[in-house]
Amino acid sequence: MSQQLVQLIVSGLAVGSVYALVGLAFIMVNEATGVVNFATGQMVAIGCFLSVTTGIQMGLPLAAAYPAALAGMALFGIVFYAVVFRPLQDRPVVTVIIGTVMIGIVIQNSALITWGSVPFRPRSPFGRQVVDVFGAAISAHALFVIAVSFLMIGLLYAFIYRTAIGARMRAVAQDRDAARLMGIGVDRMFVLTWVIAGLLTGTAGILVGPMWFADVNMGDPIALKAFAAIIIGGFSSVPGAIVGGVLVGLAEMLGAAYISSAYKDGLVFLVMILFLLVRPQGIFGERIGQRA
Amino acid sequence: MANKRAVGRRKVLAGIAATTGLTIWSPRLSAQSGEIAIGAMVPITGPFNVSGQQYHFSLQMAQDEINAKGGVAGKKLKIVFEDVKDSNSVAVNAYLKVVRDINPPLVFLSSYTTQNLATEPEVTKAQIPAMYAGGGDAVHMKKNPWLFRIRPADGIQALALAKHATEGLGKKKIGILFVQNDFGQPGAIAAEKVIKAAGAEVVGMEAYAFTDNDMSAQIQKLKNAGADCFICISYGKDGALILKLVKEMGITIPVVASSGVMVPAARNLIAPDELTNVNGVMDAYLSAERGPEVAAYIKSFKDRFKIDPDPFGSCYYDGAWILKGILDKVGPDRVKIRDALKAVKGYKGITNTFTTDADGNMVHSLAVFGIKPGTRDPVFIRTISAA
Repeated sequence: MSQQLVQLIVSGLAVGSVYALVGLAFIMVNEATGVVNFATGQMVAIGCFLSVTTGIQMGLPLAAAYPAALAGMALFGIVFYAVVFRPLQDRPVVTVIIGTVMIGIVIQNSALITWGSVPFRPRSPFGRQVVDVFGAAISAHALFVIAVSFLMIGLLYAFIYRTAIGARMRAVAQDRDAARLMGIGVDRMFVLTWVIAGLLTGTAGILVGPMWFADVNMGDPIALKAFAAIIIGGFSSVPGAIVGGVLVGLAEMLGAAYISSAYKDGLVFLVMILFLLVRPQGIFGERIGQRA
Repeated sequence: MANKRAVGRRKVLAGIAATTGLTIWSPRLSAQSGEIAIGAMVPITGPFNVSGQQYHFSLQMAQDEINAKGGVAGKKLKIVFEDVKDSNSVAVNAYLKVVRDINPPLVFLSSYTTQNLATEPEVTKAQIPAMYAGGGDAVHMKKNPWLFRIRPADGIQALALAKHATEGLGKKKIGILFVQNDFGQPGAIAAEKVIKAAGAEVVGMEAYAFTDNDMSAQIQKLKNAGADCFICISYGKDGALILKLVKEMGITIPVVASSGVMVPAARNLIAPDELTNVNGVMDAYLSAERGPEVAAYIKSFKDRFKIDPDPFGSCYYDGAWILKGILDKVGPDRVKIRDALKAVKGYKGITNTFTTDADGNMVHSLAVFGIKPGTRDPVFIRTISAA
């Protein structure tokens, strides 16, 4: 395997695993609440900036800075639920979706006021260390991003499919009213869903900061690609988010290298449109009728 | 009851009339209250806010300094800022709003070409002189007599990048990496022409989107094509990312970077060792070494805003002082201001020397820099001018 190909594949996997994490945040919220959260990108940016505050501005060691930032994101998820979702939850879905778009703008501008317009460069636990992988120079942080992303995805999968709380969350996702009748605390499951979305986006933000810098506008492009990833992988599927994210990441890198750098984004979105036309449920997604 | 309703209507109508009157007469009221109000279209929020902040700060500073020295034409200068974000439609609406609200004798337009192009027809209709900092040659090619550019055009920047890579560094195989928009694409094409004219070869031209976060595929491709030098036509954050990636990938060939990469906000994102082998151009040599006025400007800016000024925003500071000189001389008459702007010759500002050409360009050169080893500090190499 050529050095170039190794370089591109590792970069594609790092980028793709971040898209997968963010895609999972989309899926968790959509499955539980029926809402596509268009403020997901801004939540990634807030996660990144919380790590800037804890790691740079407060000067905490990263072992403390990262958990503190994630705790902040869990709290952010609860606040998001209480301030945005709960007041709007009985309104038409379109109203809630528009609410998330508006709150995304509010978050972005609040971040601008709080952290300013000049980007930051958060520290990586590995500094700027580069490792040799089959002769290619790979940033140690890129490998860390891949490892942590897949660890998070694995933990989430185990939580949803191997725990009682996960079973309750799935029950709420399948039929909110039936779950309530069965004695499941639906509101608590909603809160938990938003906390998990906060943790996923927060992790994505913390991971991308040292690679891509922290700036208040960083969220939208990431969310857009993550959205494309879950369309391709399947909007209701955890494996779909992973495969979709990795495919989009690799398509970006390999498309830029071997087809055209000018059209690499066009390539990703063309694939997304093809999926919407030919297989709207994505690679792993279930048809709406199969859910009943 | 009917009588009460009629009185209510009268009150409403009176209110509307009063509001309309206030709107129509607001410029006169502004003038009567001892102020001359001008507009400034600034990307305060959105992806261009890093440079927008510099533009915003430099005009705030100019306004306060000018007022401390007696204002303009004996009146207080008031700059009315409007946020134009990154949207052409927002820029046009902001321009129309500021024209309607304060009827200014001059407007500072945004520092982005597409917004300048979108606003240009409205400038023609309003017949209000405007200073702008968008670099795209497409703006001055409109030959709009009301538009005046206060920083070097992108064509000069491309020329400087290409000349420095070929003549300055003696490189023969150049790879061009550019942001895919109205700034990067024409810049890359213009640089390609200069490189070829200098007898060197362009081994590849690779684009990336402004929102991209990983350009390693493009960098790898140019390296594999045999480049002995990269020209990087970028803004701040994306340019910093490219330099970081070049270092991570173990590439040691020189990089000649555009002005956005060399501004303090971008350089501070890059580690000193990532700046090894980096040369770049900047709109101006903004250094205390240039003299006491420049030193005082840098100090005041830093003391007030806690960040270093950059040449990209500081050109608006110069623009405001040029305007003060003109308003003091000819007053707020728009045609006279336009004619005075056309006649500017050899005005020595903080950033550059300003002389207006037939296309409304007021700045015709820029500076090439290296980086002092082990630091992020630029070291002046030479000036390259359009001529």
